[in-house]
Amino acid sequence: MAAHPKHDFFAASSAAVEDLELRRKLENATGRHLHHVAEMRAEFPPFDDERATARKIKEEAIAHLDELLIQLKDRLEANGCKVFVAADAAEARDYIVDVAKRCGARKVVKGKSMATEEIELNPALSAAGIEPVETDLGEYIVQLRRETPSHIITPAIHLSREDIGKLFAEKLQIEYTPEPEVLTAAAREKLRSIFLEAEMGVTGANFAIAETGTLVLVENEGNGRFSSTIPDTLVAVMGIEKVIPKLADLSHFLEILGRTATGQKLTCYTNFINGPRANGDPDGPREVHVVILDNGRSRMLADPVLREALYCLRCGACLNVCPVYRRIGGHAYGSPYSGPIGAIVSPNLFGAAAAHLPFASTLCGACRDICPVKIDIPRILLHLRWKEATGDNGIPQVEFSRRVQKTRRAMSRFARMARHPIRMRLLTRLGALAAWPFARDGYLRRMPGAFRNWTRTRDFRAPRSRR
Amino acid sequence: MGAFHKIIANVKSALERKPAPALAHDGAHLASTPISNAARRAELIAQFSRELERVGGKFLGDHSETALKDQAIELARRINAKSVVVGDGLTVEAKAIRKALSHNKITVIEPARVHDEERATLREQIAQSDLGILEADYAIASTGTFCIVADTRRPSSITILPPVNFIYVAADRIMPTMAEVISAVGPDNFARHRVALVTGPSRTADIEKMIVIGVHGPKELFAAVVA
Repeated sequence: MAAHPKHDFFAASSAAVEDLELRRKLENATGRHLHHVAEMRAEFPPFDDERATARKIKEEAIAHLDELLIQLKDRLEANGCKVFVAADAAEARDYIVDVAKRCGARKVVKGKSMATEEIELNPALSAAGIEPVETDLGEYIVQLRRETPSHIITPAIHLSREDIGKLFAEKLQIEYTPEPEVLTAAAREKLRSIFLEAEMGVTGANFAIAETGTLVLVENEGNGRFSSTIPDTLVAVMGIEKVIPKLADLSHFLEILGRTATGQKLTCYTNFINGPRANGDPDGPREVHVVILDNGRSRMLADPVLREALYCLRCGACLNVCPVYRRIGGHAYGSPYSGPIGAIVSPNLFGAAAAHLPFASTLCGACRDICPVKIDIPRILLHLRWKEATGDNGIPQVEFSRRVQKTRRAMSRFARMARHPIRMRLLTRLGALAAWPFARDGYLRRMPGAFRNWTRTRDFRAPRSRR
Repeated sequence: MGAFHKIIANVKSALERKPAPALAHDGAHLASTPISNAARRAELIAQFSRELERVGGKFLGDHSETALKDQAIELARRINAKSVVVGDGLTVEAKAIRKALSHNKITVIEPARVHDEERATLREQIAQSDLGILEADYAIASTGTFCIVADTRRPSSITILPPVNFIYVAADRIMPTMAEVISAVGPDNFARHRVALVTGPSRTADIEKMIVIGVHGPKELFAAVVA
C-alpha cells in the first residue's frame, strides 16, 4: 500500500488514540521489544563502537553510491543473476509480474519485504491471476485479514493473540485457541505445501555486497530461506541504498541489526543469495532476478540533510520508542513505512499524500538515541517541515501548509506584542478576563471558535489574576 | 539498459553537489588464527554451547568421531526417525554415520548431483526425512551460530526441510566472532556458494512479541562438537 491520496491522517490518528485496546496491544509489544533491546545492548560492550563503524561505512557507501551500484550490478551478473534497475514502483511491478508470467507461476511465495509493500506488488500479481502468498507469520496474518502491515518488523503488532486465534479459526478452520504455539504450528502446516509447490519466490534484501555480488537476507522463521532456495525462480527486490562495499563490512551491521531490531544477538537465519544454482545442484533457484529500486531515493540523495535517511537499516526500533507511534500504531500513517523513519521516507517516496507526516512527531529524540546508525531523525523532520511550510519540497502545496502559513502570521503578530512588557501584561490580563466566563471549577474544559483545538484534548487551569 | 544509466546519472549529479570523502577502507581483515591451545579451545566450546542453548538449540557435547556416530543413532532412535538425510562431511567422513544408520534399519538419503528430472524426487525425499544431519563449515562462539557453505552434496535443503536437525562442527573450526568466520569463508565462497548462518531452531515473535520455537525451518536443533 503506497500512501493513499484519500487517507486522512487526522481522522485515522484521532480514532486510533481513542482505541484503548489498540493502545494496550502496542504498549505490550513495544515494551517487550525495548526491554530485550536494552538487555542485549547492556551485555555487549562493543555495541557503540560497532554502531559508529556501521555509520561510517554507510556514510562512505552512500557517498560512493554510483560506483558501488555499477560494481554490484557487474558482480551480480557475473554470478549469473539478471539485474533490473527500476526508476519507479510501476517499472519494478511490471518487471516482476512479467517474470512471474514467463516462468508460468500460479503461486508466488513471499519472504518479508517492505520494498514489495512499497511498490504494491501483491495487487499487481493478483490482477495478473497469480496468487501471492505472504509466508512471514505476521505478514501471513495481515494478509488473511486483507490488511497491510502496521510495523516494518512486527506486521501484526496491532493484533492480540485472541484476535489471531479468531482469525485462524475462521480462515484456517481450526479450533479457536489464543496459544501462539498452536497458531504458529497451524500456519506452518498450511504454508508448507504452498512452499513446495510455488513456482516463484520473492524476497527483499537487507544488504547487497558490491565486492562479491551477494545479497544478504536476515530472518527468523526460515521462510526467507525457503522462498530463496526452493522455488525455481527467485526475485529479490532492494532499494538502491542497500549496497555496502565489502564483505568485511557486513559483520559490523549484523552485530547491531539483530540486537536493535528484535533484541537478538543474531537472527536465526542469515541467508546469502549469490546467484542461480550450479548445474546439478539439488536446490537453489534456476533463475535469480535482482530488482534494484530507485523510486524517489536518488531525489533524497540530492538533499544533503535528507541523504542521512538513506543510512536506515529498517530495524523498526524507532517505531517502538516513538511516543506518537505507540499511541496511534502504523495504519494511521497511511504508508507502509510508519513511525519516525516512515515520516521521513514516505513524503519522499509517495509525494503530497504523505507530506503532512513530518508534523506527526514530538521531536523528543528517542528515535535518534535508539537508531543503530545514529540517524538524526528530529533534525530531518524539522528540515522536512521547513520544506513543506516554505513550499520548497518540490511537491505541490497541500491545504495543510496553508494552515502552517496562517499560524506563522499569527505567531509573528504575537512576537511583535510580546516584545513590549506593558502590551504583554495588558494582553495577559485581557486574556484572563476573556477566559473567565468559560472557567468551571478552576479549569477551562471547552473553549469556542478558534480556541476550540486547544481544549479538544486537554484541560487548562483557569488563569487567575495576580496582584 | 537506459533506465540504469539514467539513475546512475541522477545519483552522480546528486552527489556532485558536495565532494564526497575518499573511500578509505582500512581493510582490517581479522586474521583467522587457528586455535592451537587446548584451554582456549575448551573455553570456545563452552561459550558456543552456552549461546546455542540460549537460542533454543540442544548441545549434545563434544565427541570423538566414533562417539559422534553413536550420538547420531541414539538421536535418530529417540525421535523415532524412519528416514534420515545425511550430507557429506568436511573433516569427518559421513560414510560411517550413513552405514550405522542403515544398520539400524533407518532409510538414509544421500544428496548428490541430480539431473533436472530427478530434482523433485530428491527434494521430496529430503522433505519426508525426519532428521537432517550435516557438518557445519564453521561455528561462531559468541552467538552460538553455525556457518554452512552449501554444495551439491551438502545442499541447503538439509537445514530447511526436515523437522529436526543435527549439526556438528570440528572443534578447531569454532571461532570467537562473526567477523572471523566471515573472513575465514572468504569472498570467493560468498560469490560461488549459498552460505547461511544458522543460529538455533527457527523461531518467531510475531504474535504479541512472544517467542515461539519452530516455524518454517526446523523445530529442533541438536548440536555436537567433534574433537
